[in-house]
Amino acid sequence: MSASIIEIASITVKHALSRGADEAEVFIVKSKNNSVELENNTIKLAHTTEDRGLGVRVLVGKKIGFSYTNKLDKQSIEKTVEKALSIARSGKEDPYIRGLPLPAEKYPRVEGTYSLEIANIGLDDLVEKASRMLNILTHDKRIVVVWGSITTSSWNVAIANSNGVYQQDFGTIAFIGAEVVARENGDVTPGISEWDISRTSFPSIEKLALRLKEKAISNLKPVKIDEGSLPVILTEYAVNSLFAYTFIEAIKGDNVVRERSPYKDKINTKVASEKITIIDDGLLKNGLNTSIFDGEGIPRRKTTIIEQGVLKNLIYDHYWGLRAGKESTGNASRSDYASMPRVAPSNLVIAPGTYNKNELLKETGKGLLVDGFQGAHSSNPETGEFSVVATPAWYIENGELKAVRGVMIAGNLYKLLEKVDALTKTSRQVGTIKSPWIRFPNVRVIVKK
Amino acid sequence: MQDVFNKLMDYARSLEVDFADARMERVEKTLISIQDGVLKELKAGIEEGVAIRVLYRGAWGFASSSEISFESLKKALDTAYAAARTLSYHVKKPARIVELPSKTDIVRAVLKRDPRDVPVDVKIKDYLEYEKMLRGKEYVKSTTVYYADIVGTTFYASTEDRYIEQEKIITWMYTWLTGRINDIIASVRDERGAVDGYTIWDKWDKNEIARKVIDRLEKQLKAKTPKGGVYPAVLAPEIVGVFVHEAFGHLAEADLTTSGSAISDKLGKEIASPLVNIVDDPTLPGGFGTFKYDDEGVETRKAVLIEKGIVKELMVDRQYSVLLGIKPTGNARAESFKVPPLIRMRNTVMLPGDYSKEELFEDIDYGYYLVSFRGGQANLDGTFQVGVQEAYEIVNGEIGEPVRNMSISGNTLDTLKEVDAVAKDFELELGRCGKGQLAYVSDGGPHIRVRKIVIGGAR
Repeated sequence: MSASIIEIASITVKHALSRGADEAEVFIVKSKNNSVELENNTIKLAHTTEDRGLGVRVLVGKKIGFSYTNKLDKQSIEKTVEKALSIARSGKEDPYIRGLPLPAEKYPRVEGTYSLEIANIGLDDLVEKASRMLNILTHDKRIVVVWGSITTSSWNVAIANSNGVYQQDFGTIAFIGAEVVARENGDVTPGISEWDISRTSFPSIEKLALRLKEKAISNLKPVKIDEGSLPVILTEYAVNSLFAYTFIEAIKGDNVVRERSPYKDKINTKVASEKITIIDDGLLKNGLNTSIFDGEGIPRRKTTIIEQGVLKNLIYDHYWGLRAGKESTGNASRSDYASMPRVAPSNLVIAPGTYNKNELLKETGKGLLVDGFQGAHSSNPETGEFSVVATPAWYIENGELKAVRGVMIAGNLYKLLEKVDALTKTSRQVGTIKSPWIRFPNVRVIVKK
Repeated sequence: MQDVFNKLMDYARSLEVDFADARMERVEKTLISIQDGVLKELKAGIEEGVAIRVLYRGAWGFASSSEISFESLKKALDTAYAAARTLSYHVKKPARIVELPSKTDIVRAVLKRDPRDVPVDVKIKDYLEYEKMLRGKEYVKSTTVYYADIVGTTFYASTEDRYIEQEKIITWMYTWLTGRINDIIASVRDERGAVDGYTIWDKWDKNEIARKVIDRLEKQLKAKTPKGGVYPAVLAPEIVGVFVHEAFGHLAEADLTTSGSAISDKLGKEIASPLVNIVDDPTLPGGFGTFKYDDEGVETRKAVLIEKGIVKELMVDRQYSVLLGIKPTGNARAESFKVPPLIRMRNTVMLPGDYSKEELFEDIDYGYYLVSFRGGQANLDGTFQVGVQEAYEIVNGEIGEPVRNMSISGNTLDTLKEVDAVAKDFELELGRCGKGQLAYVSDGGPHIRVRKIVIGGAR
């Protein structure tokens, strides 16, 4: 295979048209991962995997078909095109289809998405880093490393379609993270995790390991608390977990069109506390999901979702944008070459507030600090109702943190968003959402007696 | 494939590795998704590739290749070997694995109707017809239906001279329904599947499933929310299944047990009511987790996790088998050739007891009957949470009004001790599990009664 993937994509589009497609789009990903994994206080495995593949979407009239392959030879690609065409023909018309996207006049320049350091790092370096992480963590005999990973990925994606979209992008990412438990005098913490992700440089092993160790040890020696209503502070990890199954679903254009979102007909109305501003920023420097174009070749951009509590925009791909009478916001996402594009946020940035963390804890008086949830995926995205186990969690008392276990919190995220009364001034991206710590003044806390 | 693999394993032995294996997979998938009457996605494709593992001086290396010529496999093996060598300098506790005798076996799927023989337009017609049945009621606002069939063949070889070919074919469907009455919005799910081909509609009637899902939605829209607190409850098989899998099963995956899960020091000890028997059984007919060999080429066998309340054994892979002295159970599974196998569950079930289902309700003055779940999750420390999408009050021994938006939580071990009656019925549910990688699994059991469980619910 000597042709570049963007050339293969473009040739395949032409081939699909010659075989009878009215429109065609080809998406190709080539990637390489190096990874070292920790398990049960040992380095478990080192691995290197290379992957590549092609996905082709064709339209025959208003019928759509998609096929994929992980072989990029001519024969496999041609077979894949035939498959896409044949299933499209056996399908049923989608009356809402208005064709594939057109190319943009201008594509953005993105910063902080590729690092030679990350792309070129050898597996031996990763092994050495993993070994260092393990040593720092297990230096404290109370800590057991359940799982850990040091991973780098680099990739090249290309997309071409029959309307003239012809784009490619390169990216790298480094991930370091671990889950540990701490044990002391018969007391065992729940699994406690920390991770750092960067597109541009290798995160510090030492900083991560020390932060994680401190978090785990501080979750020992739990205290009992009473049921009732308490102010609850969510860390960036907890925000990612809870919002993933509620807020993120609510801002997706497809869910809005399909009446599965409370934000239908709410543009320009107040849906959150005025302290809340949220932007979908596909161009965020060093953002996890930053790229030149989305899964359909539409330029990434910044879209204000909530501005000082007022709902401003929702996110769309090409298809759902048209169905809503709007334009794509560059939010078509593909998890790999074998998946069709779906609406998803890029980097969701929650604007930070004014507090530093210690100030916030002190000012809270009595409350709960939550770093993760169990059962967040059982939340109800349509209503925002959730009832989840807060773990790990700490009881806050005059700025001091004391571990608590088996605490559930329940409520309605959309209603709680209206009441947010404080955010920290620092924020981090540990998932789709870049978030500060967020405080909700009154949340129902249920405790097993 | 066998010839190429033989040559590859000869080459691996020449590198003086402790062990090496290769797992080639060819997976053909078809996916149909229908939203609100529109055929939204129609997808078909094939992926093929090889996973190679090398154990060298107690260190594991892994590589994968999407080309399957001998030269590509040799290159992947060299990569895995180099990774293992690099790691071997840093390994303090060398990994050892159970070695198995040489063997050749070919396992074919037993199908009533091969999904590959069913034209895609027939599948589309079936699911469009089913989806239409979901949209009769005015309060139904949106429908999503997925259908997938996955036809896979795995070719496995190891330096032990093992060569195993195994076919796995599953069909799967998923329904998600959203409704609204005034200000109340609710949604419900349904998931089912088959392992004997395109047979879902032979096993279940379209109208009947549709009615069941719509009925569940209506109750979620009209019901009252539960009182939070601690109550007795009767758990139906679907809830028992998710509890056995999420709340207990993960704790008994040997990698997680060893990491300090809530049962790490409980092997041989009583942790549950003597009425509780839990097994992970790869031989149950019709289960998503039913297969003869796992992804390390190990013969699968039933793992008895809890017998009469006592923890008997754990689910292991080749390595934890040696580490813990447990006879291999065949619990190693990989999502694809792109990743190494992990310890995963298969069909995890609670075994039936002696009670009639009706008896379970008799002694409850006030409690809850939990029928169907929305999602569940557990932590290593043994706390769990299960979202419930169909539940009823129990008042004076009778099933009463439906309740909505409910969840249960608690500590797994405490909850297992509170089981005071196990019925003689049994149902197996087919679903999926995520532990970094996706696996198709089954779980289930009989109706059971729990004296105390924490009921939470959003007010």
